[in-house]
Amino acid sequence: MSREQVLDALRTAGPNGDCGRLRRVGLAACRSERDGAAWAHAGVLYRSKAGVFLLELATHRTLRVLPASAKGLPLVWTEPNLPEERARMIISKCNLVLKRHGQNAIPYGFRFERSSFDPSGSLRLGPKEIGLTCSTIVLAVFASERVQLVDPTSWPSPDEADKRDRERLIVSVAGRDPEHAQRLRMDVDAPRIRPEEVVAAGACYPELGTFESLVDGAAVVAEQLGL
Amino acid sequence: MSQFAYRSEGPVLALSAPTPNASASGQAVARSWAKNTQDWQHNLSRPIGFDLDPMSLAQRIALSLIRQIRSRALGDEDEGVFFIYDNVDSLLAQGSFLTCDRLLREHFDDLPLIFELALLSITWPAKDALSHRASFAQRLRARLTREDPERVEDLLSGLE
Repeated sequence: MSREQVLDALRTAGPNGDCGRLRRVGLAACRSERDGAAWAHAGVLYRSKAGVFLLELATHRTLRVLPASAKGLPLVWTEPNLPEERARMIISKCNLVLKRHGQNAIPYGFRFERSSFDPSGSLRLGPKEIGLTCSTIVLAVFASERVQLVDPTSWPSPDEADKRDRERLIVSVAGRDPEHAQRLRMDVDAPRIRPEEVVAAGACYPELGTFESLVDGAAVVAEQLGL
Repeated sequence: MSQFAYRSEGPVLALSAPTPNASASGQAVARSWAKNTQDWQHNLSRPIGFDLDPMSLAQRIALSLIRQIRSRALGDEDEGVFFIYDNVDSLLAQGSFLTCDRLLREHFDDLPLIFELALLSITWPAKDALSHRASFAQRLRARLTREDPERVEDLLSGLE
């Protein structure tokens, strides 16, 4: 997928987080910052009667839904080319996942190949997988509705920047759950699917995204987020 | 009387445990208590609708759900879809495949398309255990071919 194609499909929230161009459901990323470091954060952006919301795994065991306007800017998204009905079913699945895992339920985990949500909206971890990230929860929600966005097996080992991001995350988890932080540390070399790549995957659906096919698109997303 | 909540196929019910008759003698009380408790435990081990065989019970719960799905189709469609997701996957999680199969035997082609798509999607992981799911999918495909032929493949992608 070329830079132009992703640029064409990419939407940006207006002032005050206005997502007027969102039809139904999108793969979103926003910019997060702390202590001088900046990184992308992913979520499922969706429109309901009450407004536009973002379902996000904010951190270890913190799944939540926020109004899109409550997220910081810039906020960007792509919208997979899905029939209206299928998009609405994904929104229902978001609500079901939130109902089942609203509090203290979804652990953080770096390794991702087969984790998904079962029919009851409950997380079913793949072999050797211990949780999800803000990116992989988006992929898992879509996959549970039989919308496969990427081939996770095509991702390479993480680079040094990925490992630094993971270390920062492990430190934050260690304060709340030292045992889980230890398990995360053992997976620090697992391939990393970045938020920018998830957003780019939305632009190329129904084509299955691979690391190679999404590299250029992900760079466009990162630029839009000022990363 | 003690109250116990019991979840079986269907809603949570409150069952009342028997208590000893305070006016009877000690031994009689003990015997009565044991007998009542035995009966009560026997009832507890059975699903609601004590006189029903599993097929009739599944039928009864499914018919209740079908009524509720039809009623929700008259209101907010998205709430209706969530109702299907929430209830059907609770049934699947309990292993209530007879009930789910009875739902899939129902013809919902007078309801908005999304209701049938939602039923097909939510039952996908249990497709091998649901004998009526394949014919449900065939009926839905036929409906789409009739009503919306250009979108058949997009709508059903990955669901059959």
